[in-house]
Amino acid sequence: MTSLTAENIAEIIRAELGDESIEEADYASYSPWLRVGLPQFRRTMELLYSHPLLQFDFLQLVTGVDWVTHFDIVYHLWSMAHSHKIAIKVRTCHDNPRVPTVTDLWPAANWHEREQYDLLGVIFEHHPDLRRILCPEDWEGHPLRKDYVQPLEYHGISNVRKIKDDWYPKPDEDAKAIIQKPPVPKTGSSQGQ
Amino acid sequence: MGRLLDTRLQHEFDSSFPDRERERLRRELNELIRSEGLDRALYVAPLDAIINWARLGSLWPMTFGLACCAIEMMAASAAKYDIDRFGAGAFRATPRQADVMIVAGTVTYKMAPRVKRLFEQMPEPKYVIAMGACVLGGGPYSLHGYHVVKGVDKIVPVDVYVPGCPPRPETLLEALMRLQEKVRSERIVAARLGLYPDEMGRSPVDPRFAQGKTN
Repeated sequence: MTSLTAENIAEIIRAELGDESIEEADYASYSPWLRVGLPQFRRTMELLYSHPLLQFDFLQLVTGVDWVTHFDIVYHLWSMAHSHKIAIKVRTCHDNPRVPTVTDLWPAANWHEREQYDLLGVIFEHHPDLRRILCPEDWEGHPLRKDYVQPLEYHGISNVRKIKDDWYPKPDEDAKAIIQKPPVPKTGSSQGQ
Repeated sequence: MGRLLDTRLQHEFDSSFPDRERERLRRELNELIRSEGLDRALYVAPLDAIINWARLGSLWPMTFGLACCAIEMMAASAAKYDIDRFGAGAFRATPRQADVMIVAGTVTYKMAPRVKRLFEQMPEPKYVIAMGACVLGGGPYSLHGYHVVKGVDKIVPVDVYVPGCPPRPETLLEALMRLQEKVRSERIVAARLGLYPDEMGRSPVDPRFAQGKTN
């Protein structure tokens, strides 16, 4: 068992797949990550899974970020055999987001990718069962997208709240009101008792 | 009359009739009972009072936990708080045998049709206790959550609202007692006989059940 650092892992990937395979990297953070290009993504994941020095046999989670112009899909990997970790990011466009699936390598990816499809609308190509996992099947839109607009009702259940709009606190306006409020002069302590 | 009536039913009797009529009834019943020699053998009360007394001491809740409020509900039914003292300890695993649905936890849009169906499957008369901030109005998900129903009263009629996040078990017990008060005030038999609304202008039973109407 030899635990590798993120730099070592990146070196192995570069040696196998070429220097251009890793677009960006952060070795210093608590969860070091590499961003690979979409064309090399599939081969990179196969390498991470099968290379004897890497042996990333545990896909911890798959998550996604909506950067408005594009999506990042992030795969957190752990190696039980070597006790090292790496996060792989892959970037896909916003209009037609498509990423090849890794379900055949890690079966755990099945539900994680379904979750990303459900909430962000990223399509995982060749996924065996790509359908919604959290929202109802007839849900419209993908709720965690930045441009998501919630419909006014779902199956006749109104989405409009009963309480008045001025009932709940508005953090921004409250903060403004506190700032604009003149300081209250202290009177109690100066006057004799 | 007070001697003959069970003390627990005395209140039901008193609240069931206007003062004048109550006195006349007492007098007539006392005479009847004395003349028949039934002093120690009879309990006298309006039918509604007897039915309500039996019902409110045995409100069976439906096993129904959606989120963290359900943990408090379980605590309320465990040894320390012991909801069984109020006759509401028999949590039924089927809506067919339940009287009250305690909606404890976050109701999502995905769950909402199931909640509604379970309520519809309960036999009447049936009650709903809405427990916790999420159920009352969406709670912390009210403003920005896309998935939470903004109040379970959008899908089922609620009898008692229990605020809190989550409410403590005592609060649920208080809600149960409020529900018992509501049951006590109902006049199902009288409403079926067309005796309500009465001359005192008291509200009849829950209008949902007044005409045998179903939702």
